[in-house]
Amino acid sequence: MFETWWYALPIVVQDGLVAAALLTPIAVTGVACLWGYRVMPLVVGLLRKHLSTSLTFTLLIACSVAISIGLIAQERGLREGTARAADKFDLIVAAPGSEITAMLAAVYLQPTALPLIDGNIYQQIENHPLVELAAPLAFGDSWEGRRIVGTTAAFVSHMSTPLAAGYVFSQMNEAVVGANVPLNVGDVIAPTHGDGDGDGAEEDTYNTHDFSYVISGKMTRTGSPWDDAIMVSVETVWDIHAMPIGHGPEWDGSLGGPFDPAYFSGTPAVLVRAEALWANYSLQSEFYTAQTMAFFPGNVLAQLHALMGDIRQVMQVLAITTQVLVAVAVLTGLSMLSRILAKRMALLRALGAPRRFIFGVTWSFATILTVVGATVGIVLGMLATQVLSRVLTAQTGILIETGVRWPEVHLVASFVSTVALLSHFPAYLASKRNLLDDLRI
Amino acid sequence: MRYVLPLAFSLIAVAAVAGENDHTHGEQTDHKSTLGEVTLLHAWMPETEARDALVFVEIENEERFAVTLLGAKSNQAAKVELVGFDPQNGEAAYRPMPQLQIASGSELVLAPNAAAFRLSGIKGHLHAGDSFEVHVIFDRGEVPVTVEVEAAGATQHSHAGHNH
Repeated sequence: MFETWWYALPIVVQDGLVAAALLTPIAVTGVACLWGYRVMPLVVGLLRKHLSTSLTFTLLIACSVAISIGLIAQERGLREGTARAADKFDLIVAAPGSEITAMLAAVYLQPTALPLIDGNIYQQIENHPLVELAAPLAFGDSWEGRRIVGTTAAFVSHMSTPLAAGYVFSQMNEAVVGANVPLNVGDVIAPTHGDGDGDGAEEDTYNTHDFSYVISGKMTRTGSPWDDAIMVSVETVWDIHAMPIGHGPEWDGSLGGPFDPAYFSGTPAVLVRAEALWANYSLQSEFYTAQTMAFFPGNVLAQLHALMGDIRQVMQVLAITTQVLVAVAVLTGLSMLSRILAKRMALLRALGAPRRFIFGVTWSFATILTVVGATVGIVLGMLATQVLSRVLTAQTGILIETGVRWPEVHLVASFVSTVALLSHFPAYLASKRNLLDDLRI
Repeated sequence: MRYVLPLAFSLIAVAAVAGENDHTHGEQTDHKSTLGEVTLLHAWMPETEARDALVFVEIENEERFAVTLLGAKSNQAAKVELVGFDPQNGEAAYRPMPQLQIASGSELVLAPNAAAFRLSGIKGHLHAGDSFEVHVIFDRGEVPVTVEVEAAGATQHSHAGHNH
């Protein structure tokens, strides 16, 4: 009954209710121990009086919360970013070997030496009735460290429709650049042989092809390493490396498939796409043979993410342990502080303040430090995550976006609630102190 | 820093491969069903207390023509669907599929993070070591398959890699 009602609720309502439930102990304790009292003026006065101590406790709590928030948000950002980058790659067909290596090369454009698929196999893929898009990929050149990838115009359209500027290449000397490449339509570049990682100008001079591309178009942002790539026709890549260009003598000059198997120079990976999910799985089954392997990058990533999930759990345990240790340290400090405040509290009690009032003042003091520290921690955590995301995005080319979401809210709410409950202990000790002994201090 | 991503993935992959079990020993024909020249091997599922679970099996088509996998049915569950793994934003998700074509000479492996049969409304708690029957439906007929329940968290049939 409850299960049915619960799962019928919108997800955001479920998350909101969980957060509210986690914060309920604070509300209940607050009402129970503060009902009928105005403790805030006294608590604010105590905070001002012990400003440096209060700031130290707040900072400790903020740091522990920031670490927890940062770990969770960063892991999720990395997971979503890598998945988004692979989103356009439904099915990859490559020569048998490591799926991860092939995925890194085809999806994340990592320089890797892969065996090639020959023209006959490519023709089988290209002519398969379930295949809507088959695009060969050819690597080998670069421009100022950015990879030049030979492919087909259909692949570029698949990656970015519409283009941010210009048009898809239709001539052998035309190129389309990714969104992050600092080139515009009409610019001219000379490709360099290799992945362009060499720093020396001498190396570049020896490896520069006697050929130039005119930029015909620019893609919209994909959030993948393809934003830093330059796409040209696969025929051009083969041609400037003195290889057959995929078409026989009777070729009419139109770029792209169908290719002639006899003149096909080989491709390390083919992007294959079918409209329906079942068709993609059927194609995977058919092209998982002794000569080829077919895999879904999303599925390979899911396996890796599952392992990352295990690492995430370990990191979460470490983060929670840190929070617990900080909470214990803060509460211990508060217990010591309550001794320092003992004379003032004893004076209040001598003037008629009941024990519940003393309990309320001490508990409020601890809870305010916790809530403020947790709030500052969320801000610090997100700032740190934003900086780290930008660094990782710059290093990998994968757009990593982060933000506070419900899991972080739930984590912080449970932390605040736990500390608020533990704060009963110093509050109880403060309210049970011997009045006469404290007045003699 | 261009090696950060491949290095991270490689380390994770090594950890994944280290956990695999691919030994070979005697034949276990109990794990094999046939429909003509279509062979179904090692049907399994991990132990679960949930009412939904995925069942996996290897299907080899040695016919001279393509066969179409249409789904399955079982008395052990209220509903059985053919589903395909289709992650959304890095989160695992499965979508129903109407069919799967298996070309002549091809092998289709229903496995975690791939295609599978999804059992909904499972009757009773299936423990590791239990087995039950599922009828796998093709366009050319249906065939009963014995599904072995493996330990919770298993990633493959305990006899995976055997020759039958």
